[in-house]
Order: sequence, then structure tokens, then C-alpha cells
Amino acid sequence: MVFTSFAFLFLFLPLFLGVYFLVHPGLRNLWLLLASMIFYGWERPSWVGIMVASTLIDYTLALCIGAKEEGRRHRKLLLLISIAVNLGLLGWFKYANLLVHSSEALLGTRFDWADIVLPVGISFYTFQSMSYTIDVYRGEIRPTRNLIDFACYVSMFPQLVAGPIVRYRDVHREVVHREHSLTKVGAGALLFLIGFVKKVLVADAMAPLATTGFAMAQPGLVESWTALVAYSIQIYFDFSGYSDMAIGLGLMLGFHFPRNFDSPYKSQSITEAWRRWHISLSTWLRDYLYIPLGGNRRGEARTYANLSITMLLGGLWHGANWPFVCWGAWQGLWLSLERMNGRRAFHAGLPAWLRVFCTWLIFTFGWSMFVARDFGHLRALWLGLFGLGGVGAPLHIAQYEGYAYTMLPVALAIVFFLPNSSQLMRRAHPLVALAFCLLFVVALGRMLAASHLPFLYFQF
Amino acid sequence: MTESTLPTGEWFDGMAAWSRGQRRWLGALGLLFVALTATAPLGWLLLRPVKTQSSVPPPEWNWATVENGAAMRQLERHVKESSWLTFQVRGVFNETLLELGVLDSDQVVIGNDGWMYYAPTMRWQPELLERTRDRRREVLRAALDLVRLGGAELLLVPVPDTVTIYPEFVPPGRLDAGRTQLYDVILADAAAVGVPCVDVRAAMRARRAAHPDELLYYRRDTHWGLAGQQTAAAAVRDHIHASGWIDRIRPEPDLIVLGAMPQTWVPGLVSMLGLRAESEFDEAGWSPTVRRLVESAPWTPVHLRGPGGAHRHLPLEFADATVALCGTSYSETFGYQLCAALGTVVDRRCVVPGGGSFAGIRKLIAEVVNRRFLPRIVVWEFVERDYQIDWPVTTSLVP
Repeated sequence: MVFTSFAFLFLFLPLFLGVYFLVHPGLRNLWLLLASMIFYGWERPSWVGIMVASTLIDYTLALCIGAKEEGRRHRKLLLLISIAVNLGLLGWFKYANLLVHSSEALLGTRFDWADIVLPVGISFYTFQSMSYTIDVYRGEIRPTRNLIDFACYVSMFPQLVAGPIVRYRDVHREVVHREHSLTKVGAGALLFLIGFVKKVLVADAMAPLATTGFAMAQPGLVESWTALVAYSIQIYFDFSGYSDMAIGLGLMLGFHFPRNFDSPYKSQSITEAWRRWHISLSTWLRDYLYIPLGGNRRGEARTYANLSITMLLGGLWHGANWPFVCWGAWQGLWLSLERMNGRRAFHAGLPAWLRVFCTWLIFTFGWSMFVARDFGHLRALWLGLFGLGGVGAPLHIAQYEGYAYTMLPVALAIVFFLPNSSQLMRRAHPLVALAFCLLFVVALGRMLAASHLPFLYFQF
Repeated sequence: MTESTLPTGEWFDGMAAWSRGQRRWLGALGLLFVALTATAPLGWLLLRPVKTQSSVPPPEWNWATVENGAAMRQLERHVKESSWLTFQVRGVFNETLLELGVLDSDQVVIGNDGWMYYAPTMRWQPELLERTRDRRREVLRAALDLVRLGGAELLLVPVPDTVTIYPEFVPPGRLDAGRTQLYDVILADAAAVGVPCVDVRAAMRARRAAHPDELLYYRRDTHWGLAGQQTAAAAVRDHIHASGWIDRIRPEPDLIVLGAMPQTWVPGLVSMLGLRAESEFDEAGWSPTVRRLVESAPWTPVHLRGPGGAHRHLPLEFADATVALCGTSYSETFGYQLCAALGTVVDRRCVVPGGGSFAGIRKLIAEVVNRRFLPRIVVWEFVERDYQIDWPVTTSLVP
């Protein structure tokens, strides 16, 4: 189920909120857990089983790890089992297809293999669950004995499917006891509206431009840059919009999830951009991968290697495709180069607006690797971007082309010049709320209009 | 023991400092939001479900449909389309855009002077037509041979798309160059394999030239209007006379052609825009915008004089009819005009609305091959846009 669907907004959410606020506070976690299972298993009930298995294993292992104050070897073994189970699940569902198809390509043969369907959100909840056992192992938190509380933390529907990746240590108090208020419901609702508007009115408007451009066998200069810039806007508004909605829903339930985006396109270096983009993932990778690898404590060469490994794996985490690894390498390369340059961007000497633009350009160029289906597609994209595929022509889309082309510069202006969601929330001005209420109605109309599929009896 | 990893300066850290006024309006917003989400479930409880062209039935519940997600997807669609909230919000949104002149649909091209066109009829796919030429001719020839097996003659009646007859109202840049040649392709194919074919386009153009104020097609629907149907029926009659097939037709003296019956309806292309029109014919469910877009659709039913002079509706099936009509929704009322033009009863059992241009002829061939029904003339109404398809195996006519 997705937040921008009729079923979520007008079926799941009112029923969930109604029951949530009516039941005894002691039963709220149980209801949240049940609702999250329905939310998650809505389209594929079998996926719930995978999540339940992962939850039970980590719950049990964390209890064992927490119980064994002495005997470090056993604790380490238990932690390794937890990591192996989580990475094993992730590896099987996310990377088995890649492995098989890459082997087929290498060996020039075809295996009798049916592609595995990736369970939605598995990358997020395995990371959450894994961070819990690691934190218990490190002694940073005590394991919970309450299975419902833990399962509730892992499966919480607001952030289950696309984050932010919430760590147990950040929310464990609120899982046990949280305060509810009408103000929080209102503030959460406002953030939800902001996210909804970002997703439906901006990201979805950019999607056809990006999809059309990337679908071309050999896009020209104009097509490839239009598609890439549209995608750059789309992914930011889509992902940050989703995060806003998730954080808003969490706040309505009394949770304070960490922010996931902080105007990343306003960054003046790639290092800064990674502090502002998908913050919950970058901090997770920092704390559970980069620092355990040695971070920057083992000399310069090792630091660059650690940065590169972290970003390569971060790229692979995003998807089972070799171009994702390239995207990770691209980011790792720039992070390493900037670190070599004393944590400063190479364009640090330029005026501030140009620094921002250059950083955005580097980040946006990286999206070409993120969207490429394979290396052949990536090559065609790069030829287009560098003008070697011809000049091309403006992209044409089936619907609302004028709106998409109008929204392109408007969205860029929003990105570069207007306050982000957190800044808007900090001010909490009624006119802002009123504006987003009106935009929400428009977005709702657009969402429902876009899903209008009349029975075209005469087209067959 | 616990160290938070929250980035410093989260916006909600400042919530405690919000003024009483801020808290009040935020609380009101919260209530408003929850109330808004609750409107749809309340609507289901208090109002009857909405039924539009977009409605779908509830899902079929079994383990397979639940496991593969089909049941939930259909349930989502079902509850959404039956909700008055969807009907109203979507309708008001689209109507506002339409009134502002910025409504953009991937199915409907909004033309000038109140005209609308079905978007797929704007396309011209020469490569596809090149690739499918042999297959098309093979199917046409097979239809002729199979119909002749039963002792009948086949007459192909390609219905021109609205854009073929009224191209001048299409907005600039929307009609593919070369699209006007599609009708010529049909005529050329028919001639190449010897399938008798009525050039309805020529008849329509001649009629338009003679009666410039008369509308042969609806402005906002893909179908032809009464005048268009009568023109086509007359063209069929002329072709039958010219071919010397008139002896194959047995006149029906009890046929009564009634006068035109007035009727106002919501044209199909308007329905496809997602406006507030719950019913095609019941104006109580029409919004002001829809009322502005409805069209007059007069029709002339044909009756049979029964025993004692009483009228009865023309049935679809006549076991001993000499003329059979097979086709699509275009033939639903065209059948009456054909009866009137030919002065005989026309069997319409093989008119399959929504079945495409092949379902009817396939059904008729099954009847002929199994000798259940043996007409003398088979009129195959074929929609022009259906010609520009990939001609898959399903166009096979052998039952």
C-alpha cells in the first residue's frame, strides 16, 4: 500500500486512526503492529512471513546477546548469526537474480531460474533490525523483552517501506510510552500534506519526462539532459515527500522520527550533500559500516578505501544492478577526492551559488548511473549527455506536457531558493498551512484524475 | 547508556515553544485532516455507491487472488470508484481544468469548436501497416471464402473515424502526418484480395458537401450520428444494387420505420474525461459542465407489424433473414438504418458492442460453418481505427 493511494488515505488511515485513538493506550502497540502487518501484506501476504521471521530471530538473538554479559565469544557468534540472517535475507531476495544473470552472462549459458520477487521494504527493515542487535551487542541499548514492542518497532507502517531508517535507540522510549496530542496530530498532518503535495504535484509531474527520455534508445543532448534534470527533481521530491509523509504519520502517533533530507541540493560539496541526502541511510552506513571498517583512524589510504567501500555497498544497497555500484563508486570517488582536498570541494574557490550549482551538477550526473538498466543503457545516456548522440529535440509526453515543462524550472527554484519541509514546520505559519491545504486538494484531484481508467469498451 | 543519533536541531524540538495560537490552529488542522480521511468511509455508510464507466465489481476472493495481490488491487479500485468522494473530487478537478482550457487527457484530444477526438485515432503507424499487410489480406480473403462457403456474399463496410471526416477541428500538431491514408489502405487491401467494399468515406464526404450544416458524427463521441448511419446505409444499398445482389434480399412488407426519437446523452468521450456524469441518460446526475457537453442523439427505431397490426420491436435474430450485419457498437443503431434502406429485416445477432471489429464476423462464421444460420448477404462493419493493429492470431476467423 502506498501513501498516495485512495486505499491508504480513505480506507486504511481513517480506520487505523479511529481505532488507535479509541483503544486503551496499553493496546495501541498491538493495534499498530496488526495494522502494520495489514499495510505490509496488503498486496503480498507472504511477505509478512519473511518480516515476522526476521523479527523473531533478531528479538531472540538480542535477548541472548543481552543476557550473556560474560562470554564474549558467544555474544559475537550470536551477533554474527543475526547479521548473517539479515544479510542473507537481503542477499537472497535482492541479489540472487543479479548473481544468476551475471553468471549467465559470464558463462554464456542460461540457468533454469525463475526471478525472485523482491519484498517491498526489505532493505529498510533488515537494516533497522540489524542495527538493533548490533546496538545491543555494543551495549548501547538493553534488549527489550516485550515482543510486541519490538515487532511494532520493526514493522511500524509509516516508515516501513521507504524509511527513514529509524534506530531502536532513537525511539525505544516512545515505543514503550509516548505522548499524544492534538497539536502533534495537526503538525503531523501538515507535514503529511507537504509530503503529499511534493510527491503528487512535483515528482509525479516530472516522472513522464524522465521515463520518456530514459526509454529512448539513443537520446540526444536535449533529451538526455531534460530527462536527467527531471529525474533529479523527481527523485528528490518523491523520496523526500515520502519521508515527510512518514515522519508526519509518525508524529501523529507520537513518534519523533529523524529527518531524512535537509535541502541536499543546496550543498556546496558532495561531502555536505551526503550529510543532507537520505540522512538516515548515510548515518547508518557511517555507524555500522564505515566506522567499523576503521573510518578515518587508520591512515589516509585506508580512509579513502573505507569511504569507497562504504559508498560502493551503499550503491549496491539501492538496487541489484551493476550501474548502482558505479553510482556508489562515483559518490565514493568524489567523497575521497574532497577528503584529499582537506574536506573541501574542488570548486570551493567559486562564488557560493556556483558551488551549489556545481555540486548539484555532479550529484545529478550521478543519477545517470542510478537509472541505467545496464551498461549499454548507461553508455547511450552518457553519449547523449556529452552531445555525442546528436542535439536531439524537446521530449514529448502523452499528458500534461505543458505542466511538466512549467514545473521543471519552478521545482528547481523551489529546490534552490525556498525553505525545506523542516524549515516550514519550524515556523508553523498558518498561511503556510492554508497554502498546503489548498495544494493538497489540487493534489488529491490530480491523484484521483490520474487513476481514472474508464472502461474503454470500444478500444478492443 | 543511550545516545541519540538524531541530527541536531530537529524541527519538532521547537514544538514546545509554539504559541497557544499555533497549537490551536494545528489542532484544528489535525481534526480537519482526520475528518477528511473519514469522509469516504462515512460516504459508503450513508450514500449509495457511485456507478460510472470506471467502476469495477468487488474482487473474487480466493487464495490465489489474495496471494498475487489481484484481489487487493481490485478491491482498491472498487472502493475508490464507488466512492462519491472520488466522483466529486475527480469531477470537480477535471471540470475546472476543462473550463480553464488546460485539461489534458491521454485518451481524448480536445479539439476546436467543441469537438473531441479519441486520441488513438490520431496515430499513423506506417511500419506496422507495412508489417501486417500480408496478414490483413489473408484475414480478409479468409472471411470472404468462409462466408461464400455458406452461399452468401460478403460486403465490407469500413466506418471512417471522426477524424477522417472532420479533420479540421483537430488542434494543430495532434494529428500524425499520413494518418489520412489509413482508409486508402483498407480500400487497397480489399481490392487486392477481391473483397467487395463500400467506400463509406466517399459517401460521407459527398453528403457533407451537399449538406454542410448536417452533422454526420457526434462532436464528442467516436460514433456516427443518425445522418451518418443513414448515409452509410444508403451507400450499402447502392453497392448492393450496383453489384446485382438485390435478388438475394427478400423484402419485408411489415417493416415500419418510425420517426426520429429525440434523446440527449453524455457522449462517450465526455465520459472518458472523468467528469461528473454518473449516467449517460439521466440528467439528474449531470454537473453543469456536463450539461453543457451533452449532445442530442436522435434515433429512428424500426418495428415490425404483428398480428392485428400491433407493433413489436425488431428482434436481433431472424432465422430466415437474408441480410446479416456483424460489427461493433457502431452497428447497434446502424442496423435499423440498414433495415430501412434495404426494406428488409437485418439479423443483428453478430453485432458485438465492445468486441472489436473481429468478434462479430467470427461469431457469424461460426454460425455459417455450422449451418445454423445462412444469410445471403453479410455486411461486415469494420471500424477504421481497428485496422491499425498488430493483427495477432486472435484475428483468426476460423472458429
